Amino acid sequence: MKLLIIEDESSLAESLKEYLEGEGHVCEIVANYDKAYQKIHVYNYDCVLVDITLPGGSGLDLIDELKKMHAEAGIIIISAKDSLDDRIKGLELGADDYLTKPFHLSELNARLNALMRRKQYKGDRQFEVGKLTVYPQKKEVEAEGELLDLTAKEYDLLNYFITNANRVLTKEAIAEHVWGDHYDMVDSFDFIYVHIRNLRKKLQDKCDDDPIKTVYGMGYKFLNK
Amino acid sequence: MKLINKTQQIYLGLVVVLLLVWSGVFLYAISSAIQNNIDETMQSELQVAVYRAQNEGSLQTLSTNQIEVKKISTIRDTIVSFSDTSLYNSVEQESFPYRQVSTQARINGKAYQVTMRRSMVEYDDLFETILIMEIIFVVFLVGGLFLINRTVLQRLWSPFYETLRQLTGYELEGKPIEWNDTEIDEFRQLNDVLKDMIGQIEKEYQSLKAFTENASHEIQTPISSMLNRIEVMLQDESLSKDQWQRLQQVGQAARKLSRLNKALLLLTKIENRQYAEAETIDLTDLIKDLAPEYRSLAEAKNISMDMDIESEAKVEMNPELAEMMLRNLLSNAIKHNENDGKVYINVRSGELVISNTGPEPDGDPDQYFQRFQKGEASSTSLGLGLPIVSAIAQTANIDIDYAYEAGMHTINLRF
Repeated sequence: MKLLIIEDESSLAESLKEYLEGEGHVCEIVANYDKAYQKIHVYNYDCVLVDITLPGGSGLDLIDELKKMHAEAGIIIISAKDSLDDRIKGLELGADDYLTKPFHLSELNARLNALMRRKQYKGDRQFEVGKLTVYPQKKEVEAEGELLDLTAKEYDLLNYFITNANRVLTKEAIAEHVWGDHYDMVDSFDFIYVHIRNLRKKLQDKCDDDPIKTVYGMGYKFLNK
Repeated sequence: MKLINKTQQIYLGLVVVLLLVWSGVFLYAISSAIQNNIDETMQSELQVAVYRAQNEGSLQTLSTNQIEVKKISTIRDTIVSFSDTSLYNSVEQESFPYRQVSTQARINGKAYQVTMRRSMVEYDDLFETILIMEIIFVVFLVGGLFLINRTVLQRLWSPFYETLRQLTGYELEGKPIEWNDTEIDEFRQLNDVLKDMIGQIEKEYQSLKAFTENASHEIQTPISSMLNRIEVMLQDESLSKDQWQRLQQVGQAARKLSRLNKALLLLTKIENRQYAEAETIDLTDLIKDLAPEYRSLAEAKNISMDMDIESEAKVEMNPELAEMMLRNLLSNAIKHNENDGKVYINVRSGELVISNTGPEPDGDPDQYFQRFQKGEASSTSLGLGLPIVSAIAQTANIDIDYAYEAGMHTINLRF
């Protein structure tokens, strides 16, 4: 996919680019409002990652511009501003998602994938991962043709693992994904363990193999061979 | 007491006192003038009568009902003397005041005490009339002054009261104050000074607000870039486990820095009253919505959560802050709990109590609402949870108390 990263902090933009290119995307970086304005008028992107506070203007105006152009691009705001007002303003303008800095790259990846799936297949396309079949619209997962009885949180967790397959996910990243903004109010990761234990049990019941591996002292990894 | 009333009180009090003193003096002056006049008239009448009687050598001229002649043995003093007396009138069965003038004279070679009396009833009536007129005058004068003063004072002070009204309703970043023009120099000066002061305050408030938000943004972005790089490095399979863990620790520290910065910004925003919009919120609804989320968290430690809701808990406050407050309290109740512990939530009218089992806190519980005062050494805790709760409670006029009793931590909110 072709992505545009609009971010004035070059170090952050570079690390995003490095990571996303590792995921097989093509990335371009622009660091100010005017250049971003030119880029979005000249090229088509599948997704635009945009910071709100930019030299020369506001990222919100760029979103407005993209919407006026009827651009197909998905829009994810990445901002340090985390007040409800800012979020509402961004989403009302037509952004598809809002990530507050700092965020886990695995979280960005999950959001980006979910957004792309919604955009490309209008969400009603299932996909297969190993022995599992995921139906994103229904939020259901089948294991070897049998429906898994998952809670909303467990589905969310499994989906997060699948999107970030073959990568070590720290407990913190998982907690932040499951708990969103409020993960930092919780200092125990025990509940993550409980959720993952339940999820693994359900997976083991339906298919013999358990794709979630504990990486001792680090976190968890979903294996997709 | 209102300025106008106080002014009226002093002013009219003074007028009444002055008028009363003046009335007394006036009454006294009139009465003594009349008295003198009467005395002089009576004296000359008496002297004329005595003189005529002496000339005629007969008591005939003295025999009127106003004059009383009494024989005395010898004349001691021919000086005319005055006195007041009262006589009983048998017809009206009442005593009446009389003025009497008396002298001693020799008529036909015999000594007499001659006394002339005159009724003072009509003069008393006169005084009475004067007094009544004075009272009426005083009442009308004071009443008139009161009304005139009131209208005049109210009109004069109206710019002041208008300024006061505007200031009372003033909120930072709210509707700007409309300064009314006034022709009175002092009030215009007052308005000018206030206008300058408020302009200054608003400017400083704006720059403080911009600074805190910018500072936060500027800090979060580099932290973000740090964390992202760490995350990419953590996926490197050539790292030894030891290296991996050290890197992870650096990440945790950076993440804590980021949370700290956000929490401090939040506190500043709450204290700056940047969450102004308030609406009526039922905390029971909110707590019922949030509880399942925390229940699943509690299950990890095998903590039971019991709710006892006796009544609704309506509070006028910002909804975002209300949620933040309850989330902080609920997560505290689980965080500072023990395995197989309990959490009780009790809502009574005007009161919300969250209590939980847990080890006795060390340190002074009163300090928990202060920043960075942690009950127990916990590397992940920021020590800002309760200060945030307390700052939120303050904006919504909620009283908050903490107590530890019989193995239970209890937070009590009263609104």
